[in-house]
Amino acid sequence: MKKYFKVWWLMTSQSIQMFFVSRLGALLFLSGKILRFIFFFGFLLLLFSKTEALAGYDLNQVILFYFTFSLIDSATQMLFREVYRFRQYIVTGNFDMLLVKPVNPLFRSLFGWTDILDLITLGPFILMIVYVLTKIPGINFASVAIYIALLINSMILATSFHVIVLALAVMTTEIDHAILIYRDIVGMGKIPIDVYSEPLRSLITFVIPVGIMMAFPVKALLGSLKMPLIIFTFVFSLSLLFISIAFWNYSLKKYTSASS
Amino acid sequence: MKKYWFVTKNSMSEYLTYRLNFVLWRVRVVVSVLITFFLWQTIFSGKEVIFNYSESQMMTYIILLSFISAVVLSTQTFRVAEEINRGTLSNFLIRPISYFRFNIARDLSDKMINIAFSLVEVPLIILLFRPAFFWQTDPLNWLLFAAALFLSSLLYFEISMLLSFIGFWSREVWAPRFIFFILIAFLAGTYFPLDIVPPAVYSILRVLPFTYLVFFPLRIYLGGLDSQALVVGFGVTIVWLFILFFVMRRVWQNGLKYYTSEGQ
Repeated sequence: MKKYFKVWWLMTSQSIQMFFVSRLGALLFLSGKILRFIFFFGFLLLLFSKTEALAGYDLNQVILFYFTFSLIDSATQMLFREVYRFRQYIVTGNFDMLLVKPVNPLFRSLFGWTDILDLITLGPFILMIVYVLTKIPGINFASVAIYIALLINSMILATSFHVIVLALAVMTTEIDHAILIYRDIVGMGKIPIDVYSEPLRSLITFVIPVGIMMAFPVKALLGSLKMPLIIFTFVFSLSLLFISIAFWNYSLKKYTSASS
Repeated sequence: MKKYWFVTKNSMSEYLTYRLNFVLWRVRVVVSVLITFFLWQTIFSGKEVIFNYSESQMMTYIILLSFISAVVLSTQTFRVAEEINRGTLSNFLIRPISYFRFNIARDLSDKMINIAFSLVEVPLIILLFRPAFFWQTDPLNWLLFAAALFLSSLLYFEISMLLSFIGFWSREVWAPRFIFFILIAFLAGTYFPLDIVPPAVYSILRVLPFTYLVFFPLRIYLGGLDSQALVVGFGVTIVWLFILFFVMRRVWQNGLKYYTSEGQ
């Protein structure tokens, strides 16, 4: 464990150094991310100038959904940015170099690049969530604890998705659009999933578990999620994690080391 | 003209080689349209008119975004930046072709394939979700809609080329484009019709070129624009087209003086 933390820290230090190499580009990317966040936030405010509730949620609750989505999305991108570069390792055959190193190749492929830009945004997101929480009545310590536990659960789900995308890349060499489709679908969680009509709602809750990932933490916090469903959520996420790792191991057996 | 037609054909063949990639791209477009579609559907539940838009007008606006993005926003001009940065631009400069027409021909293939897909997607979305859809019946509106689409495509081409020309002076070509995509997403009207924002903001948006990429053609399709609004809309588009054309030519000429074919 200590060894892996040390490796992660080394890789993170390198990515921070790279941030300082292309300062202007990094600054522009960061500005873009902030701009995107502000625009969508403004859009939500604009909507609520004409409606009092969205799928039964008031403005503060909808904002909480959006901020929670932003937090999970940023944390995921911060940790797993390497996945976006993984295809190059496969098509050039450089993945061989990762396989021969005394570090788990899955760990290296997932955590090889930490996105400092997303790390910068995490603090403000947490502060904004805390602020919105103070505006919503009926929030207690127990519901906040469940909210945090479900946020961790969301990260487990995100990890599973990224492992599946990596495995797909090993098997098909296609990853660019796969990871972007994942991001687009996850983007459906910017707003409460109750907005979507059936059967799409069930599909994005249990088949492509965007709902579990993005909406369940807030729903639990607002007290609209029953305990059995919360327990099911943890079981579901852990099961998906094991399945994704099994899929990764299977994909490694199919790796042909083309182009190397 | 024939040689440019071959560029279009070759570019289409490239797409057909990487079919899965292209299909996945279209899936992304449909998913983003569906997100906005369901959001507005929920907002309209129990209401007939919001922001001066009826439900059928708003749903039509959102669904047609898939088609508009296929016509206007599909481009390959981002490759220009790569060609400058890698020095492969030299390969085009020594050929007996115009690099601008070459890029228009390349874009044409992009637009043709994307339009073909969107012509399947739009009816599919209408059939599957059965939204209140507004069918424009006035031939004049169709004509003006087509004219606006043509001008918007040219406008987008010029803006996108200018962004790629940053490559002459910097390797940071993706960061400005990333910001541009975000500006397009919100300021061109791909999330919502722009005239729903407060009047002061809308009066600023009306003088920006982004408004005329997506919002203006769609507003023409939906009808209800008076002749003054049409004249102003087309007028501003044409003014931007001229301004950007001259800026594009100037930046291209200056860029070529700076270009060292580095990487070749």
